[in-house]
Amino acid sequence: MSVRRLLAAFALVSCFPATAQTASDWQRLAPLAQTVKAEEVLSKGIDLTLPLVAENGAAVPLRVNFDTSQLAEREFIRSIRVFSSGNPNAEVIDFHFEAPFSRVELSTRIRLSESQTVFVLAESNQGRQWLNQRDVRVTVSGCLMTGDDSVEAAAMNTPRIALPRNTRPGEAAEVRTLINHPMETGFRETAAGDVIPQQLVESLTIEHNNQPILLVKFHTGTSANPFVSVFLDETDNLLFRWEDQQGERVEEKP
Amino acid sequence: MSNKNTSFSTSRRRLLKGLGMVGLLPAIPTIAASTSGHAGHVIVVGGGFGGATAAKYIKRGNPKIDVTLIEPNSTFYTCPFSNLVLAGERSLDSIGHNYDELKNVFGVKVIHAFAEDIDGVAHKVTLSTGEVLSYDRLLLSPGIDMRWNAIEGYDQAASEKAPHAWKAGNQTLLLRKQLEEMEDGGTFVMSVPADPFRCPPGPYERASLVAHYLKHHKPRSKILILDSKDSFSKQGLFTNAWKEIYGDMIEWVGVSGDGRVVRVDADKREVETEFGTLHSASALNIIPPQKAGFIADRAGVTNESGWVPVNPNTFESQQVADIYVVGDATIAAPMPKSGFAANTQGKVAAAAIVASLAGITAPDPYWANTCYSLVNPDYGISVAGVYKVEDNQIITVPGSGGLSAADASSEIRQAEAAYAVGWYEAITQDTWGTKY
Repeated sequence: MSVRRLLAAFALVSCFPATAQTASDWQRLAPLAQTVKAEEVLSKGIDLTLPLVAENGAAVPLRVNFDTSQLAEREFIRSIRVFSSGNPNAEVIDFHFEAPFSRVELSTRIRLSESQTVFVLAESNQGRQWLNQRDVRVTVSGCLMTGDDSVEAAAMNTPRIALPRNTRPGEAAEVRTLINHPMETGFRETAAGDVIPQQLVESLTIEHNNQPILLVKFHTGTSANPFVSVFLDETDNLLFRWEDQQGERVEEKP
Repeated sequence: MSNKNTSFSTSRRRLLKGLGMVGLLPAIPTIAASTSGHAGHVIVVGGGFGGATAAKYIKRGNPKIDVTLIEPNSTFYTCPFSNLVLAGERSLDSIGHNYDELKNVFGVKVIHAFAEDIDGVAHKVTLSTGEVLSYDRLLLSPGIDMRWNAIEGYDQAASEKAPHAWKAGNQTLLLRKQLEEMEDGGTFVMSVPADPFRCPPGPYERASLVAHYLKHHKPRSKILILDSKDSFSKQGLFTNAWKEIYGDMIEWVGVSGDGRVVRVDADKREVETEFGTLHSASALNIIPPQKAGFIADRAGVTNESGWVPVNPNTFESQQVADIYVVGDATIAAPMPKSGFAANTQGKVAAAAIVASLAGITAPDPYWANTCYSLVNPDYGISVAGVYKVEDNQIITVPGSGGLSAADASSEIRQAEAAYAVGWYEAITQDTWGTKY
């Protein structure tokens, strides 16, 4: 039995032959390695949730959860960044916190072009860094061929914000946002072989009482119709502002 | 995909269809009947596409192996073609299958009980009757369980009022009743989960066949599909056919259009989506997120995803020795969760079990799958694939399979609808021995 278990464990690892990662493989992913500045990279306290197998690499649900009890007094999370080992561009999505959040839990949907390792790096205002990673196998299920390769207009429309129905004072509450936009990567071609130019929503800023509290930066690794869920300590007087690469802005108040 | 490629892959698929079920049999090692002594005891849990096929093919591979099938129901109703029952085009009886062939022709011992617990170390299965059975090899084909309360307000009690109908039988009839009672001009609302779930094209075939029923009986009605995804199986083919046949009767809302249902009020037949939109339904069909059937949990073969990782060459569990798992419960992507895939996985696992009990190496596996969908009873579309193992992973054989052509004639759509019926009769005959 134990030999078999061992074999089974080996089989799991060898499921990722092209991207087999060792614990220090982040060092070989340049954009991530350049971002790691702390002398000691921590791992305890940061959770990264992704499916083991993604049947649609165009929209893979990702959740990051940081255990804020790991933080010292007056220490708070300054940024959380997601990197991909196998996408054409390693940057996936970044969250920059302009204020302390009591609950650091983020959800979004990301693009993975192939089976690979996804990394998340958190940094505090005191310069401490935490890193975690997950292997994801990407495979298009046989029945999921859509036969649809349409190109959509690249303009932001229909911003959506969902506030929780019941909030309790002093307890952070989940706020969900989404804006419709195709997030053209610049890597796609039309049937005629012409490159479809890159068109991205660049950022989402959330303001509370006219002060920015969170800046989300989107990259080519962020799914079309960028979706973000965060836990906010205050849900009154919020403003959401999306900005695309052309400098167009969409503002929305819940 | 270009039309040129599509027609090429279609002709490939024709070839595969021509080979039919026989061409899909893996080379099961047939053990000479003269082999003396006890050849082993295999328990199969679940008498659906995967389990019934496996029980039969283990017996075909070596009749000396004792095979016991544990299945609570004496009649199994298939999810394939249950959408025709929903649309009033078929009777529930016509999609029911029994275990007479397994018992009488192949000598499988069939026990109608629930398997309630499994001890993988002691190699024992506990039944709802209290009986405890020992096995040399165990094959689980547990199908799916619903993740109750994954959508707020949607639990087993709610499913009596807002049926999922994602297991055929009473649930199918409950939803049929809502359709029959619906007023002309009402709205049929369906909630569809994110991947992975049983039968990826199933919700869209269902919407099509419900539209077929409504068009002829309640033509002012609407269908609203609230989806937790932004794309779906055979999307281009479905949406073009919907427009052509049903005009604007069917509206599909993807996750980026606020299609994800987060709360269900089954009494009011009302749903709320992620961004707070409320939708009222005359008939309400909630297809909830799913996981492997509970006995897989009891056996300790599921992982954190709720599904079962298997060794692709044999479909033996990666976590517990001597337990094989097939069908919708497994992580077998790129193979879909379909009855057809379960049937071919059942054959691969049967071959592996026969080989393992004989102390020989299992043959190299391969699998095939075709998902037919009916847009109406005379309009069929399909997606097909052939699968093999490479680098210890299941992959789609390059160049195999493909989708129905986007610009096919109505004669081809009609022919595909006839192939769908032929497929159904062939696979249920192969699995349960049902005669047509």
